[in-house]
Amino acid sequence: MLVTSLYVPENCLQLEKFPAHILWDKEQKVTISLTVPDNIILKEIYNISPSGNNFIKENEVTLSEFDVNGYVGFVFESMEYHKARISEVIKFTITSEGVTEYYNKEILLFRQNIKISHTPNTIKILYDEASDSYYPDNKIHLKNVGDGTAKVVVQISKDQNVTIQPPDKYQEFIAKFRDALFKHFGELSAEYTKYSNEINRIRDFLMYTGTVDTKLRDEFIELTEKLESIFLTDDDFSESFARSFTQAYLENFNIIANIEQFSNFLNSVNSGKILIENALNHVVIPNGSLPITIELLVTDVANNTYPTIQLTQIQFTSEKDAHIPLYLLFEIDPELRPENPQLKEVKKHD
Amino acid sequence: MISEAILSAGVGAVVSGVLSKTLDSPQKCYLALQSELKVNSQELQVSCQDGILHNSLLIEAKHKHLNNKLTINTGKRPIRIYLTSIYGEDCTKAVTLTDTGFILNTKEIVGDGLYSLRYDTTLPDVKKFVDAMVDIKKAKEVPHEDTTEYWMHAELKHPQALKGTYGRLSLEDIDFIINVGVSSDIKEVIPPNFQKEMTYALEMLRETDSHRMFQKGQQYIYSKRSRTNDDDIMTVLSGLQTLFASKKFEKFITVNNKFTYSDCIRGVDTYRNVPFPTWPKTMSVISKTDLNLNQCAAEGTVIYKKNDFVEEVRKIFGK
Repeated sequence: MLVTSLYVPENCLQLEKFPAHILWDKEQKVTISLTVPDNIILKEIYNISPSGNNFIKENEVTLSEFDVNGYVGFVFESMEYHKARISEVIKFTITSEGVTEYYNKEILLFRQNIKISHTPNTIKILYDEASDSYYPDNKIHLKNVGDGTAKVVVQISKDQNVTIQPPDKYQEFIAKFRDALFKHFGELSAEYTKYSNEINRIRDFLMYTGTVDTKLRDEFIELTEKLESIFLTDDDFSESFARSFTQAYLENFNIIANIEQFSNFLNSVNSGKILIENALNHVVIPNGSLPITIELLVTDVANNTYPTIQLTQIQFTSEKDAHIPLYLLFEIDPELRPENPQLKEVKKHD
Repeated sequence: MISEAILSAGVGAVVSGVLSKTLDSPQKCYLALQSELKVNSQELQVSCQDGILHNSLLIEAKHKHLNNKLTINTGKRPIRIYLTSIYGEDCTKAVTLTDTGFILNTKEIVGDGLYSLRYDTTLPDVKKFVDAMVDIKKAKEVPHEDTTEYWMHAELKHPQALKGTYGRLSLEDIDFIINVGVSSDIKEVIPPNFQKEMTYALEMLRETDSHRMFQKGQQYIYSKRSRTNDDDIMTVLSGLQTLFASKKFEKFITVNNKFTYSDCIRGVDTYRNVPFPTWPKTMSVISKTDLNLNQCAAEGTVIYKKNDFVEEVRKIFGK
């Protein structure tokens, strides 16, 4: 056996990068060829010599010169497929002194796939006097027929006289929570001067109320990764940082009754790998009857974005100006999975 | 599909500025020692989790009866330093630490003897160093709910840089954080009666009329009886929290192949704007691995024993 280790992960989210490597006996001089499927991009090759005999021909690459013999590393990236679940095969051929070994490595590429199972034509908002709250007579049914988790933000199409906002009590709570956090982060920054740059930056992010674009999101991800690495090496700071949040919560705890919120939270818990991120926010519907177009902004756990889903227009009616939590408008239908998980589509190769 | 630029852009000996910066101090040390002594070998180990560079040198006198004080600049004061003879004799007294390194009194290095010199310094930005040297990838999600195995992979970007001019370099304790999704497993076992119980408890607390409070109380007790244990809501919630303590949760985790388990930490809560602990969306499992010229790439898995975990949650909810 020439190859001591050849690794490609068994699965990966679509649109994400995934690694591969080959290790072989250091004493052997080898030539490696690999054939890459159309929808997979080979992004990086590690440890090949720039002056070596390395070739690219369409979907095939041939490598024979390595900086350190015995190892080559790869990074691939998949595109988004029409199908939410598909298996692809990367073919490797390793040759040395007349001996050839063939390896076909299969990887399952998956993603979320939200479907609207039912959109009612009308939703009437009713008032329950006993609980002083509103509820709908009809619900929008969603299901996720893909494998990855779908993260959903519900919004109303622009130019409509309807808004989505946090519950009134939250606005008060969030304002006070932010003030408290600002104060605690100031103290934290003074105590841990070596991290003051990171603390001040995260504080600025938390206080920021504008829109979040890709650049800002990337900066935030970079900052959280930096903080994660600090937490791993500095337990004291990690604890103090967490305490700042806890204190800010506790100082304003009385604004919101905990059991009430938890009860609401439980009602908004959805199975079926759909996470409605703004589930506890309220949609504010004015008295009367009006058509509303709801949109679902969909991302996955790796923050890849998918096309926005626009629902058909729904006629909302209400006899009062009503505030209704978003989770009450949705029902998540369970997705029936095939009994045999091996029943997956394999893309055929020539 | 293969990027045309890959053979030129992604290729070869691109030793980044970060790497040069990291190796600058050991190289200076090597050269300074070499001026008076024979340096037989130098091994450098970067402890990626702690951000510490361990430098181990095997040195030998060139001449007999040396009488010099060698000033070694390591950039900053070493955290610790040891000098021992090949026979195990502690000779650390021959070393004096300074703010920028140490001074070695070579008078103590007797000819014909071999000595082991080891010192540790902190790395200025270990994350940047690891990013420059290692490509790290991991499963962000697993494809279906029955799968509880998350893959991890680390590979060297520029292994030739580890050869080093003055000694071999290895990377130890490269850490990985895998976020294991637990929220949906908890949701699976929440009994419907628990939700009712919450609602009745809430209504009872809100009620000001004593008669109606009594009625709500009866409903609450009735719903509570439908569970097999008689803990109240807050006790159940509190019991749930203990599951996410590192020592408790680690029994649901196995780390395999070239990786070893290090720790686990509670992740962010499932819904961000609930102002008290519920349960986390994920648990962050920390594993680590080593890379060096004998192990240029490493793969491993974090296995989450979902069924055992669900069973524990079930017990807490009294099911």
